[in-house]
Amino acid sequence: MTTSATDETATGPRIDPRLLEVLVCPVSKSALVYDAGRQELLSRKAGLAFPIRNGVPLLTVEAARSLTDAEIGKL
Amino acid sequence: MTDLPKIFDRDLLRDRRRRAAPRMQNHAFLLERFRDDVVERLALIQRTFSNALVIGAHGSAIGDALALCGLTRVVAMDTIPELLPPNEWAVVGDEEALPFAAATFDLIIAPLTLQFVNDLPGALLQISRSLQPDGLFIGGVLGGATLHELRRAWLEAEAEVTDGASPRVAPFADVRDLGGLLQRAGFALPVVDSDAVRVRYPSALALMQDLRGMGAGNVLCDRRRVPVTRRLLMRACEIYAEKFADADGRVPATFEMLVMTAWAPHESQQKPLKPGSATARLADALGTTEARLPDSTETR
Repeated sequence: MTTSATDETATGPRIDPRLLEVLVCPVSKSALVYDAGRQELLSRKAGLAFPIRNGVPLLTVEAARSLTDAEIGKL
Repeated sequence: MTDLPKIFDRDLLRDRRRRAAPRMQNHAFLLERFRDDVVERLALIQRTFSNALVIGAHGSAIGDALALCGLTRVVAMDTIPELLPPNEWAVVGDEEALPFAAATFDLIIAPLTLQFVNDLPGALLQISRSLQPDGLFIGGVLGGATLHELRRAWLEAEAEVTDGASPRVAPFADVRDLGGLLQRAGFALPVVDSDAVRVRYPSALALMQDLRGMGAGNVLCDRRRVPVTRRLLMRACEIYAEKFADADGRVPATFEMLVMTAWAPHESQQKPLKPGSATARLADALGTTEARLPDSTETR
């Protein structure tokens, strides 16, 4: 069971690193940090985490969640 | 973000497009016309592009055409995931807050999406910023003459049936405004072409259904929030037919498609010389003698 779970994350659609290079935070236009585990793109400056669903980054304020102070501190 | 006046309800626009997404290809004649126009323009440009962005992907419609033009790397952005093509270069983003680094693309195509943006100058500025020097922008928007028949029919019907009028057709940009906005956004060599498309429908109702199919129903913030009554709708259709119908009973609708082309500035582009920098006299070139106009303004 555990292997199938890991397989799923490993074979699921991954974001292309070359796409990541051209993306910035839509709010602050600053660089994004890629969290591969949570499949999120983090903007320290705007304090927002943008989700990646099925390999597609959702870079809108509506889709984002606010980062906690602890999370911002770690960036 | 700022307190700009909100004209369009962008959340509602997303909902409308989401609902229309599964059948949008059946209502894509404007989009296809824009696509063919882009392909034609690209064929005439002596340059290969390698790094393109489509703002408002509308499925694969535009991306596939660009692939046929030889573009291998096309990033597709749309406001909703349902309208993204199934490839690895897809991003959900908002035209009003583009998520792309500066000087990234050498070609940006915006097919018929920017007419529903609240801050058009801001959106154009972000587009010009995302372009590499000498990068090309081709954007289609609907212009001021669009749906003037429908606007008038609604206005008169509403004045008659209810106690006043409410906005039902969006305000659209004008050719001259767009040229100025492109310049303000830092583009070089801006050109705006107008393409008037006259389409005929069996009835005004069929036109409204087609608009809804495009995901382009009324998304104005100031729209009247009460549902349209059957009586009002029928009266609007009647007025539309009375005023505009052709001899065979079908009704025409005007779409004015404005196509903007503009370049990110680059030193290789032609520029006008500074006034007064001429080294030869026009009179000499023409083999004539220079004479002052009788009415010349001496007071300057």
